[in-house]
Amino acid sequence: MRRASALARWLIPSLVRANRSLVILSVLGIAVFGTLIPLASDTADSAATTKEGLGAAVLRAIMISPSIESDAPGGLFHADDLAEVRAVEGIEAAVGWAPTGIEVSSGSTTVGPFLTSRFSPLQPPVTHGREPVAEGEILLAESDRDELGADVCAVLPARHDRYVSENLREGVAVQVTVVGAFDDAFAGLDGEDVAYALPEWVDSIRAIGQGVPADEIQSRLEYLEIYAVVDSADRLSEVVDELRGRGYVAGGLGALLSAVQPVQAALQMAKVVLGALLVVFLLVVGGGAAAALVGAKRAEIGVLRAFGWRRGRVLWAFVAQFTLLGAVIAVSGATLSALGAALLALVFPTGVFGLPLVMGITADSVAYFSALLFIPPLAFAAAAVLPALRAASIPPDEVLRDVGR
Amino acid sequence: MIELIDVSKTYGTRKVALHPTSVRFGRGELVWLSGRSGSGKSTLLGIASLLVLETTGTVIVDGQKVARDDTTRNLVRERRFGIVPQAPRLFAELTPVQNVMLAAPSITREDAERALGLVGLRQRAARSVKTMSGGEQQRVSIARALAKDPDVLFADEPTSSLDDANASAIWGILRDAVDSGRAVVVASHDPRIAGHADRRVAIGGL
Repeated sequence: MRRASALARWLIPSLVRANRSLVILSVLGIAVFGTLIPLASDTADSAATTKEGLGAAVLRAIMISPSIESDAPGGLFHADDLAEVRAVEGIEAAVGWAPTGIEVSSGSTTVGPFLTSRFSPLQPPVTHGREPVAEGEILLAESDRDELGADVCAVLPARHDRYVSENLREGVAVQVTVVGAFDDAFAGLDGEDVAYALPEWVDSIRAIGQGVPADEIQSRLEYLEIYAVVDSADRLSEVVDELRGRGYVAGGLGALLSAVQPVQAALQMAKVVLGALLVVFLLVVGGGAAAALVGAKRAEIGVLRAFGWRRGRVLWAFVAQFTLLGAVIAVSGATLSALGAALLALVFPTGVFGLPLVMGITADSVAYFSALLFIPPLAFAAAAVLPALRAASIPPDEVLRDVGR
Repeated sequence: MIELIDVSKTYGTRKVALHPTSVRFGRGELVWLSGRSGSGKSTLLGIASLLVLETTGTVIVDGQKVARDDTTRNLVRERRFGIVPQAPRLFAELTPVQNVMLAAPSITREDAERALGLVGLRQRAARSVKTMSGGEQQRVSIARALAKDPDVLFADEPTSSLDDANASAIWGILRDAVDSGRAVVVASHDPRIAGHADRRVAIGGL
């Protein structure tokens, strides 16, 4: 087989030249496949599961409700409960949740969202402007901002309640600065028709509305729920157990993220389908090129057969040749793919469409890259088998000009 | 060295390519197989070189009857015979040396260069076959057949498309092969061989 392997090696450059367009197309196909599919898939996986990803906080989030045995008045939370939750090992951040009403006006238009403490990990991301960082700064829903015709940084008159008596409240005029907006198409944990502000400011407005003096906020102000984020998804169940052990009703919110798994499954399926298409493409390209080569080299193969080349040797020469061609395409495509990924990372250092680009050496990426290197040679070898069998069956008397067949 | 006893070839049930024929080819002679088109000279060459399986008769090489199986015949061809087809049928993408090396696994680069030297092409051994003339390509083809130092050289119309100068060069090379102790069997209707052949075998009569 040594000579057959040498023939395969020697013919590679001319084979590449003769099939230039198909080779380029195959290389580009592998490069695009190699760059975009894992990028999209890994980025989506990352977005859903890693700490930095979009879905990460929800997967690490816990909703805490008061136990029926809770000694909190009315079964609600107070500041000391919030402090206890924050002190549990593994809790990264926690916020007490309870909305209050506010009216924001601009000209003759008024909107009345529920003002809620901003806890960005579990709430819709800011689409315009920035997060509120001071008292009096609010994030409005896009629909409310449009209705009010308010630009980012607009200072608008607003009103909230002040406690007068059990059955009576009066309006208090304040000014709010619209520092940003969020897409209210994402109805989150807070429900619809909300606005966000700093938790401390929301608490102070609620205290005024409930008639709680400022120095008693810590002891008297109540929260309906506490939302917390654990520092690692792996510790979620451990922290939940700890909170349950302390008498809280706690549960992870990851189950609410029902869209993540179907999206991941769809991307996996897309990867498989596109991979299958690529293999079919390589089979067609390889088979076509092999059939053309065998047709063009019939006379030369006849000479080899006349010299005593056995069928197996001819078969090997052609299968090896196309395996090598597949390897050339695979290495070129994979190299181009790596360069493409590096270029994307360079051009989009912070990510694409809000998704962070994830490219690293992981077990999955190594397996994927290996598949990218092995599939084209195997596909080309498989594609070359039939034409090579035809070549191997060329009789040795083919070399004779006319034997009266 | 090679003896064909009453060999014939029939394709299908009716198409007779060669009527029963007996002939011997010995070392040190250049035998010219002549005959009209369709007379069966190529078929006889094919049977003698074990490329064509005879329908009847016996092929004997060095006193041994050759079995009819492919493996045996491939082995004898590979080890003992060199074949020069009418058209060189070289791999145009390869160099002359590479083409010559394909004739047998045992042929080294040095062997190939030596064989190309025998046909006067040593200096062009590493150039592209594509750039060579028809005569030069035919000489490479002969070098390919000679490289494994065969006992018998079979040539099928080796000069049919060559001019006098190239044809003369080819006959000279074949003559040298005979003088070095080989048997050379040439099927040809080219009358220019007449002065170079030691013996003429006319298939189907003169």
